[in-house]
Amino acid sequence: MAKSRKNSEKNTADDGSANGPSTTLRVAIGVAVSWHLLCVFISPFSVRPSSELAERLAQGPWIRWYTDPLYLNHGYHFFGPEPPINQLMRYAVYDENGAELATGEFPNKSEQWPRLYYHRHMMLADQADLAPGQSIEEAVRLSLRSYARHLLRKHDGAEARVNCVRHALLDPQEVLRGVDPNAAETFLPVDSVIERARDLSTPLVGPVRGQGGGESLPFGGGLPQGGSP
Amino acid sequence: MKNLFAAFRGYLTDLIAAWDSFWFTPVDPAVLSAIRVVTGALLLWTHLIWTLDLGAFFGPEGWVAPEIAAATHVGRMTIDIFPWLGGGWLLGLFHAFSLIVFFLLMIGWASRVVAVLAFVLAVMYATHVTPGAFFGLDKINCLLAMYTLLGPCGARYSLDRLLRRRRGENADPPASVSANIALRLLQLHLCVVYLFSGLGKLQGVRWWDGTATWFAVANTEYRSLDFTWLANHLWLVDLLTHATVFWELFYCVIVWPRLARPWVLLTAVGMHGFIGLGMGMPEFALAMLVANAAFLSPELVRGLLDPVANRVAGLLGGGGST
Repeated sequence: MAKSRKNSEKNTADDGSANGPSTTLRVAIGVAVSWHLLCVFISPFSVRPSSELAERLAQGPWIRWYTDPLYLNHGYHFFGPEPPINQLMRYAVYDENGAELATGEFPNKSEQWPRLYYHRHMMLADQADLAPGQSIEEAVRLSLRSYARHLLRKHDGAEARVNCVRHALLDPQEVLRGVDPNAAETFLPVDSVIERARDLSTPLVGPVRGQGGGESLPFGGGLPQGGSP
Repeated sequence: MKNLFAAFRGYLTDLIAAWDSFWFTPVDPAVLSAIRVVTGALLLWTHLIWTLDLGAFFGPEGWVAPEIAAATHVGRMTIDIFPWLGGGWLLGLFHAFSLIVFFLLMIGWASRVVAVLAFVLAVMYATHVTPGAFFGLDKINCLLAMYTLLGPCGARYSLDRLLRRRRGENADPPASVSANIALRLLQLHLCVVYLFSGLGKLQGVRWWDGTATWFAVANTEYRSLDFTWLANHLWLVDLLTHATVFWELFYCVIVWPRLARPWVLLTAVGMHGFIGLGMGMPEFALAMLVANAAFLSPELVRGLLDPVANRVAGLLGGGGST
């Protein structure tokens, strides 16, 4: 293919000259692409766990003025370090008399379609642990409260309950034994919250000051950490 | 000493010539143009899906409360435009404008201007849902859009080309240095993507003990085809797991030699085809394959696409749009 690529080369370039860009322009382009590639490389290199050197370089303002606006400040740890174990959010919304206004869950293949729409809801549930918080538990709780508030507003409810469960995966032996992968016992409780409409005017978090570092990997259920693609 | 100096000078001359050839050799813009078409289609579809519940993902009363979104964005050197748009007609108008831009990128109208707009808009959407509902598709969409705008992406397979031909400009698009730079950057970026995807997996036990592929296919939330029959063939699970890690780690090396490249790209088709069909992520798989297309030769792309483009142009009365 390299040969055929060369076959397609022409002696004239689209800059109108016979020999392509001038030497000065070539040097300028060379500097620009070198800088760009440094940024492309160092951002995923700084995803934790990383060295202090990598993190200080990639997450400092002298790199981030470039990587943040171009959406380059993230990793590419698809399905790493471990394949993900998914979380599901199950909810119910009630009116003032305790009557059920709405129930549902996300992600849910029959409720969310097409597949990409379902996938967005899967990411929403999985990234509950990426909210600001001192711990993963605190982050998940904050996200659940946020989801509950959205549901309260959407259904004009008085109270919303959101339960987060983690769906354990079956190993090959369990599948061969015929264990149902969606059996009730495979859904492990993580946390649950109740939000009320009367509290909607109170912000969930106050003003936050922080570094706002690069991408964090989603927590992958029972495994140490699991990244979604 | 004199010989040593001469040898060093010769090496430097060769190095500069190789660098120059790598970056500044003009190429037919067919590959970049083809990438533009699919990138536009991917962006259009990705953002069309947001339309199903735009307010819930981008409005002030959405799933992620504005105060949480603001807290997670603290310190980022970027601007999240969506809090300014609110959740009413302005958000709808902005979204409609974005969809039109992505459509225009796909069909190739005012391609260079629209490519810049499409990239800026794609980054705006991705930034707002990071974290929240982002995944690899957003990263690769933005990556493709970023490199598409660097070169003459509307030179072929575009409405721009069709309109030029109607004006009587029938000459072939010139070979382009900027198309080469765009494709080279895309190729190198893709190498970084696979390298860190492989390195990230080395931190995990499942990718070492061979079970990662099993736990990917056993995940009922992800899977769209049932591959649990692999439970009877665990050696194949081990093989696929190890092959994935090695392929990703060494992609950045083995994709460059001419003889190895077709096999590397065919493996990409197999791996991403499995992810797309079996794991329910066809858009992500397509985006990765489009990025891999940067390694295809213009002759191959033209051989595949020119007949289709000519037929479409004929239907539109353009008499050929390649």
